[in-house]
Amino acid sequence: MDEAPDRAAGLPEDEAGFTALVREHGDAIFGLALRRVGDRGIAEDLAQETFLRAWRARAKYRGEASVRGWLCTIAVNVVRDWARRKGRRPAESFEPVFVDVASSADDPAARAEVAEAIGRLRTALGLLPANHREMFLLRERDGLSYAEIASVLSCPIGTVMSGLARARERLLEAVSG
Amino acid sequence: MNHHEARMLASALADGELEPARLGELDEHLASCDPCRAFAGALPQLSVLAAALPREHAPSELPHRVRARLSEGSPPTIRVPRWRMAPALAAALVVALVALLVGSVPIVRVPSAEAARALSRISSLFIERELTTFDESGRPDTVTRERLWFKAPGMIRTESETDGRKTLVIERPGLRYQEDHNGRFLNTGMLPSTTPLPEPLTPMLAILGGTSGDGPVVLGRPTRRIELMFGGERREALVDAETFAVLGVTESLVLGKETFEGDRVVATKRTLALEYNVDVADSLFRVPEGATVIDHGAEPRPLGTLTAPPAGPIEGLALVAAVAGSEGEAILYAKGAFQILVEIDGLTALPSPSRTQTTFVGSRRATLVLPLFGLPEVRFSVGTHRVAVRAPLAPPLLQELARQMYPSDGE
Repeated sequence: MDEAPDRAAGLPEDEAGFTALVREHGDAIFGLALRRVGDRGIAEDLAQETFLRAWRARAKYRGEASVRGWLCTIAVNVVRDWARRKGRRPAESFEPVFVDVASSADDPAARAEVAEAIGRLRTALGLLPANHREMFLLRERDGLSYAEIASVLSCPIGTVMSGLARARERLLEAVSG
Repeated sequence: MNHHEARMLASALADGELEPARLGELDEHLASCDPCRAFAGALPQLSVLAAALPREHAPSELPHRVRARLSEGSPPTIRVPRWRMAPALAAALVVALVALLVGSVPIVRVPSAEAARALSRISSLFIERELTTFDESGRPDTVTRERLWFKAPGMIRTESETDGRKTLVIERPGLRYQEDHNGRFLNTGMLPSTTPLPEPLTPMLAILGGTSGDGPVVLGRPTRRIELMFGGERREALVDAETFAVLGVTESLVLGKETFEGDRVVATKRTLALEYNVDVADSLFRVPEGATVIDHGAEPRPLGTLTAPPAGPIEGLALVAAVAGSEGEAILYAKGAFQILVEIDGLTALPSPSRTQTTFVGSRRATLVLPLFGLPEVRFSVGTHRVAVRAPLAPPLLQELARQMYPSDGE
């Protein structure tokens, strides 16, 4: 997870402040769009539109959700609108992930073990059902709450709870080899 | 309570989402169930591993572009899907390649004209193309007309128009100018493009797929038809037969392409005009004034002496240029290698075939850029570190990587 979402924080009213918000959440929104459309150029356009919609709707943001969760919900709608216009279903693609050896481990054997575990995690993530993978990434990497994930994925909170547990079961099986 | 319910609750507890009223029943189950207790105990470790997965990075211009549009109130515009190039996932060219760099500091230069010229017998190019996407009923959906000029080393001008919307891109080493509906932006201090040769002119390494016979003659040039399969999507490229050879390609000229879903063509790319090794005016690559400047901070600068692996011992991999990044990292441009294993100080990482992603090897950052067409690039931190670069993958793993890049629908 990158950082805790800034729940209850207001949205900046000025352009400079809003641009800083784009910097803070741009990767998450871009990544969410990219996983659905599989094209960096289109994902960037959709990320732009997400932030423009958020700018126009900033007065409606009441802080019930984190800013990131609110932006993710807008982004999913933007992708859905785009897909409807293009007459296509958003693809569930998977950006390959990478081996990252924990630099804090001094023992080379331990580092190799960590690298191996991450490699297995990467492979297992790719094999998860798309909605389970998305739940896992939204939770672990973007720090969204269950309610926010449910809103983004248009499903009940119970489905998020169940999906996350199943995703973690499979990932742990893979990681523990 | 069954095991799945217990794991849902344990998972929610780890996320801080469990209702306190349910803690008792979870505790009760865990007290008598070793597997579920092990599951609950392993969740923090899984979070740590998940945190190590790098995320997708938005283009650095995104905040600038959004800001430029905040006050415009301009209607949102979404570009058409860009042509997804066939990845240069090599099949058989992969051999154990090892280059050892003893990490003294390198001499750094932008890709030289000589290096660019060494990659191709074509030093200038003009091509006009039409890119068409088709809707589900087979009717043309969007049509993009594109004109591209290239001049070694790495100067590219691309003019394109889709649905009346025009885009101009001028690229030079370290610089990229773009003018479109979002405004005019000049990116300076950029790392030189990894594709100093533009698609469709490219030193191809090898192709995952194979020839399926002769293609049509395009603008007087005979072509070979190359078929590629990715995640159920089929593409066929028409490649200049004179310069193309399967495995051991030194350069190729892609003159046409079709993308299929099943038997349905979803996109085509058609060459309308082609000239090369003709005079191309430098003025075409002059950057207009008045653009919003975004400085990325990289500059070519001498750093010392590069103890680079000679091209000779590295079968299929020849270094052609080195460049300094803004953080002192060195970037090597290599020709002819493929999927590469990066090793630093005995630690290894296998960068994915993604276009620009960063891998950490220990605390050292390495970026491998494998443009779908163009030059593989290995970027690594400099210092006293031993860096090995290899391409050890067997074809099945390449297939797996291709599957990850192009997953099937309905996964």
